[in-house]
Amino acid sequence: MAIHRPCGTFDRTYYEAKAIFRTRLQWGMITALILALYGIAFVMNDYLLGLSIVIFSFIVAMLGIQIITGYAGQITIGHAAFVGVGMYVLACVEAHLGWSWWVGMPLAGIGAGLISMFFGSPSGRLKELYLAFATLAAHFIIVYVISNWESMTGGVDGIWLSRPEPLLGIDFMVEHNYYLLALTLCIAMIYLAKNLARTKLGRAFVAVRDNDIAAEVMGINIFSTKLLAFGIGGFFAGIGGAMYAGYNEYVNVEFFPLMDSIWFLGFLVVGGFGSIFGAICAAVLWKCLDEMATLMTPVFSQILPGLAFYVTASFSLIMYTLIIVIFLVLEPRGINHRWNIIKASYRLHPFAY
Amino acid sequence: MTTSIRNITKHREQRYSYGLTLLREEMEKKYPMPKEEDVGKKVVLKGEGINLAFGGLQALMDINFELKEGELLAIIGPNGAGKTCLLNVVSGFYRAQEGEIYYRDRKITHMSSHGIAELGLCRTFQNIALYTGLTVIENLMAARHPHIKYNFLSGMLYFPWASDEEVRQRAICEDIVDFLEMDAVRNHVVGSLAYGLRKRTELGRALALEPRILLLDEPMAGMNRDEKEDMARFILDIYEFLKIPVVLIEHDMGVVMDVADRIMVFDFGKQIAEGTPDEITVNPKVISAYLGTEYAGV
Ligand SMILES: Nc1ncnc2c1ncn2[C@@H]1O[C@H](COP(=O)(O)OP(=O)(O)O)[C@@H](O)[C@H]1O
Ligand SMILES: [Mg+2]
Repeated sequence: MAIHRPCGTFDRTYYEAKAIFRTRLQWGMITALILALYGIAFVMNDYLLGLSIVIFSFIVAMLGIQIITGYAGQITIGHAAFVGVGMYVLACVEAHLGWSWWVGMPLAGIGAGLISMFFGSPSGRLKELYLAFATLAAHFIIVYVISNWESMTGGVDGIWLSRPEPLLGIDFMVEHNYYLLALTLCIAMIYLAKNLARTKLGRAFVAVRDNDIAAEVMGINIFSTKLLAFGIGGFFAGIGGAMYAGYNEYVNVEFFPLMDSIWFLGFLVVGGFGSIFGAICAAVLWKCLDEMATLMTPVFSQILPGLAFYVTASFSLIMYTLIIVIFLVLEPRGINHRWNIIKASYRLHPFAY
Repeated sequence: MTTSIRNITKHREQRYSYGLTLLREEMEKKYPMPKEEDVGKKVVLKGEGINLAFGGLQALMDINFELKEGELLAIIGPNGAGKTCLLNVVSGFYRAQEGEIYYRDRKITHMSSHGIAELGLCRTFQNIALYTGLTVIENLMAARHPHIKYNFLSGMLYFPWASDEEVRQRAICEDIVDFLEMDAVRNHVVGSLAYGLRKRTELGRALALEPRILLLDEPMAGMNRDEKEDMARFILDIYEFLKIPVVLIEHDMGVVMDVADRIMVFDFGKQIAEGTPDEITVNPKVISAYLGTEYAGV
């Protein structure tokens, strides 16, 4: 399938050919969307703002696993732990060094990136299922270290931390200001990820994913490329973690359970491998379903008094699994592919091809 | 219809006015074109005593070969003779148990595959090994990887110089696409292309890597006559315009006899003959390898 463009769009320069948004309409729509996202900060209540901030953090983290697994093709079942490393790096930097969130946030990204690289290093030898198990071990090791290194991490009690210091007179204790910060960071990270995907390293990632033998013979050092994928993916995870931890002002090991690592991978399938848009959709869908499950609790306790706890606990599991299974069966290439089909058929209308 | 491919290619118009010029300029910046007096004399690639075994199976037995500047060397032999294995050893994908490989007097036996590729030993694969999820143009761009100079951080931030470099590299790749007459499918995902076009993309990808030696593993396998003629034309054009030596593995005798300067014949991992096309056609060992001993007249 060729990549369809709106009718009448011709590239006159290679700059145009490489642009993310090509037509005026696309530019208009994306500007309107971004403005709307900024605007609604002032009309949403705290509950919706909180939900949005969580979604933004998870979009950033999801971009991380999209880079590692979706682009570079290295399966990881330790992604939630890398997010956790980000949270804890931020918390420790704030608690022990007394530095502010503004310093801690990039450090969280770098720290998580390095840890991710370390646990990604088996990818030099291992592939697919075997690599999945090696990274699964990462999750257990990280959680074990965090819960037992009490002098540093406070063990199972967790750590309190504070929100970003006021900047230019903006107080981030106010919910909608933090929302604006998270939104800005999220857009910036999406832009970085998109640029990564369309430049040298992004192509090398896909080359390694699609045919690692050919990639090696075609001048790409696959081991360092894989390590970079883990490093950059971990960086995104760490930033996502710092956004989330900063919002909650508290972290403990319960914030990144093993199941989250698996849901990261599962929802990546739903969103679609190898697409930034897919990762965004995946994170939004996941966190909205999550919220829905929480909202259903009172409903269940009405219909099934006494059983409500068990039902809610399993409800989200069943729903997630169901969604993933439905996508695997009906649209294994994810929301992104379906969206492309819809766009293509709209542009080609009334013709079928 | 027995017009030979050489006849067609001999009388073709000179089509140097378009295609590959940007690539050639790019290559000339890095190293000079081979000198006239070196052509056919100076050895650019040499293998000495190569032995390769998989368990009990001896895939290559004491192979010696030389490739000279500006030469089109064809390797022929029945299936399973070890031709692909030799290319794999040269490109560092298989490690020979014994033997050394030299590239312009430099020992490359123990270099990594990507290092060998960066030196300019570029190859295509017998079983197409493209990056299936990328488009034609992106496949070529992916092969430009070692030649793109900005680092990944400037790529992620999309600094103006990264953007300019992308565009410059893109122009080189588009040039190759034009040369291969693939303009219409440049934005198609290669996984969905027809077989012949995928083979052509492979050739384009090897070109994008700036070959100083081009190693082609059965580029015409499974093609019809027209497609073979196109491919032969591309190969000869590349060979003449970029002035690079080419190693061609091919089963079609018509093509091989037409285009090759020298032919090496393999059978069961052994090199059974070597010489000009005329010498090879009458070599009894070759005839017996292909047609059986009763035809060889020995
Ligand atoms: N990776 C491998 N493992 C085991 N045997 C192999 C491998 N690669 C090639 N061979 C064997 O080496 C021999 C030569 O193969 P090849 O070089 O592909 O032949 P061809 O001349 O047709 O290209 C064959 O018998 C093949 O089965
Ligand atoms: Mg072969």
